Amino acid sequence: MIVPDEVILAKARELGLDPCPVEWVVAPAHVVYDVASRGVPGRFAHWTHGKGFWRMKAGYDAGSSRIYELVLPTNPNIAFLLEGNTEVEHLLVKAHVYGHADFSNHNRYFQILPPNSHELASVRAERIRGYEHRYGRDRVEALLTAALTVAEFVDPEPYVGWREETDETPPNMSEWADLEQLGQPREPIAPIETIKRWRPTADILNVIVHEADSLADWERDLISIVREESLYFWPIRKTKIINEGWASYWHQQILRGLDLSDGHEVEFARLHAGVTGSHGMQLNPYHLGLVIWRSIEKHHGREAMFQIRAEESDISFVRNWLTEEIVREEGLYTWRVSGDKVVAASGQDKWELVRDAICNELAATIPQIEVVGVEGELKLANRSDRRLDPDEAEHVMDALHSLWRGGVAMY
Amino acid sequence: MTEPTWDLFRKGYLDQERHHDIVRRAIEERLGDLISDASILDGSGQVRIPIRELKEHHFRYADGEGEGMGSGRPGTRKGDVIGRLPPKGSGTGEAGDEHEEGHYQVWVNAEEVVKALFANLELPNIRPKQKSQIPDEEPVYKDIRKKGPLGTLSRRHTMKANILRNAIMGRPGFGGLTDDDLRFRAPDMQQQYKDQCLMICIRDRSGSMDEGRKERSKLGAFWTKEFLRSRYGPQVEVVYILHDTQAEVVTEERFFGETEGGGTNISSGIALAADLIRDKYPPDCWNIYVSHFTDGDNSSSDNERAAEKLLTIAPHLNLYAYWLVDEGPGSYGGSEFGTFLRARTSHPAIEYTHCRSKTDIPNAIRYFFRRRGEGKS
Repeated sequence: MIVPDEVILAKARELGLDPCPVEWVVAPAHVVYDVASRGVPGRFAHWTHGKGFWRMKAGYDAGSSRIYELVLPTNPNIAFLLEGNTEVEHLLVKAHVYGHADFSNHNRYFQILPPNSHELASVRAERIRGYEHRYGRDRVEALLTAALTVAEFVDPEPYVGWREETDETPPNMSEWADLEQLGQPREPIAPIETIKRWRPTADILNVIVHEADSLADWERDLISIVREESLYFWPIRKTKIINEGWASYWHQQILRGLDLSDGHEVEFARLHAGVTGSHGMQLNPYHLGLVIWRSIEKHHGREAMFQIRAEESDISFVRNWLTEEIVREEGLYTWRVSGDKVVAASGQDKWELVRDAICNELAATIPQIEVVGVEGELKLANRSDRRLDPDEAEHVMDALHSLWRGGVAMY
Repeated sequence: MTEPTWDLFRKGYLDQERHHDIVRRAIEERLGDLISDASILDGSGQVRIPIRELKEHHFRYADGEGEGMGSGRPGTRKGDVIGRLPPKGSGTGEAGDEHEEGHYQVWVNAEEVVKALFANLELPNIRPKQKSQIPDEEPVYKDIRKKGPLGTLSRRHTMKANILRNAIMGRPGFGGLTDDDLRFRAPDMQQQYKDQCLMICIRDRSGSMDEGRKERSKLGAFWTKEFLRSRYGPQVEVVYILHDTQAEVVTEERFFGETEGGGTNISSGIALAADLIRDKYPPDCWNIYVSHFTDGDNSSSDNERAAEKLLTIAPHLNLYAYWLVDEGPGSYGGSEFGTFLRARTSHPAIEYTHCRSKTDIPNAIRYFFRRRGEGKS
């Protein structure tokens, strides 16, 4: 039952998907897991990647976990498929990948990515190898380790930093002053006072790159590399549920359209259930995404679906489209630990609370921390009323101190 | 579809090595702690240390600040009990499982630990001994030949041969090297024999030697033995003696395991060691190191006898190391033998130190095997 790519792609297009081209790479586990741990193939060498690789590969070797596929949202998309997948697995995975390829081709959050992220990663990795050679592996490693602690605090908005602002309107002048003065001899206008104001930002590394005084050029380059590559993960992080749900919805539609016969439906159903099943006390993004997409299709139709996939991220997707019906049917709830008990913090009796709690948790994946000043010291502020883990914070503050080379404080 | 050869794609493994390297360096920094880990006494000569993988640090909210999200429980209302936490510490009993998240095991050889910790120490009071009949494993490159593998080329002898040939030709100095000048070192065919080493471990097994003192004694004995092995090779002969008021030679197992009750006559242990030396280990053939572990709580009538006995064998010993395994001044009741001994004599082979906690063990070994001539520390 070998289904050629063209047939899968034709079915995807017939259903309305518009994926960018996909380059397929069938690779053994050690390659797939390397790409998975690095995020982008060819990305710089670092122990954090090695740790991820070792962990995931150990899980694979022990038979407890398996990555079927991995897609890079580049143009063309590069999709790594695990060597040794069965035919049905390959088919499901390819249909799933076309869903992702459509999503990243149209979703607005992905539009910030340069189409050749993966090529850039190799070029940068080469540059970093050069730095290791010149300045020593330990120094490069330490700097990368420090920068990676805050890599997720990235903001695709252009850097502002200090902003020149005019200080309020000059005194003794009404809003109409210029009109009132019409026809009168002009007094020389006093130069308008401007003051510099710091524009708070979450993009910690960008602030360090722009504002730290005592970094050597190569050090500044290393930090910018970590930051730029982290941008690559920004849209991926923001669209986990909506994107996996989208791909899961479409792999099912495509395979249904391909009219599987001779018992393969059974294997397909088993695989599909494995991927999109409920995980009990943990949220399975494939599951939640899929049920929300199905509900949108049921109540608003396909057109609305295409619109939503272009515009939304996980938080807005859940906020706007998670309904009471879904919460009830899927038995969604949130929980807290209380003593030695796990207790429902919200349930289907108040479905809005479930929705709001999920949105809050999605927003809290990365703490709301901003750089609120750079005068004298690097001033950070925790914008949330949740407490930071103090031990972790201490380590990160040490790392920031080593990058900033000056005082770092949390307000 | 592209299917390149992936055999050469080693990046994942290379970065894995980077991670493991850092962990290994961290272990080396902690080697001192390993010495106080009794798990090494299982006889394998290896310590198995559970290691946590390196942590990646990030800002995150403290535990309990957020909520978990679940599905598949229709009818759940706020406040319903979903489940119970397993009691702390259960479930993860086998921290040794290699694949448990975040953990893995590293095996460290006792040998490596000794190498790292005791590299700069030396053996005291070495006197020439008759060689044993045990062949040395390492060949000695003493012979010089004209042919041989390039790796054994002797620059000194080659230059010498060249200068000599030039001199004969009437040209002073070095130059014009030919194949004929090359000289190679070859293994000396004569067997080398290593010095023989005897270690006598004496341990007090009286009632006052509680678990902590016993454990320190065992660890001290173990690491002293490992240190001697690192210098004399694996054929170090070890004799174990346990004593209370009576002494007996025991197996390693019993030495590490046993406690009895009763009083203490330190002289009994020393006397048995003296007998062994007289009957089995002639001092002109053996380098003899005695390590005596006791809390010093000797019956006062015995001190004089023990000291006398010790002084009769001291001239034959490389070292008599007296390990006072107690918890500090005042932790013994009677007259402490070591103090008595020190007041009585200052024989160069007799050394004395405290071992009040496990962390004192490496320091004690460093003290007993310090470089002499740098003064006592």
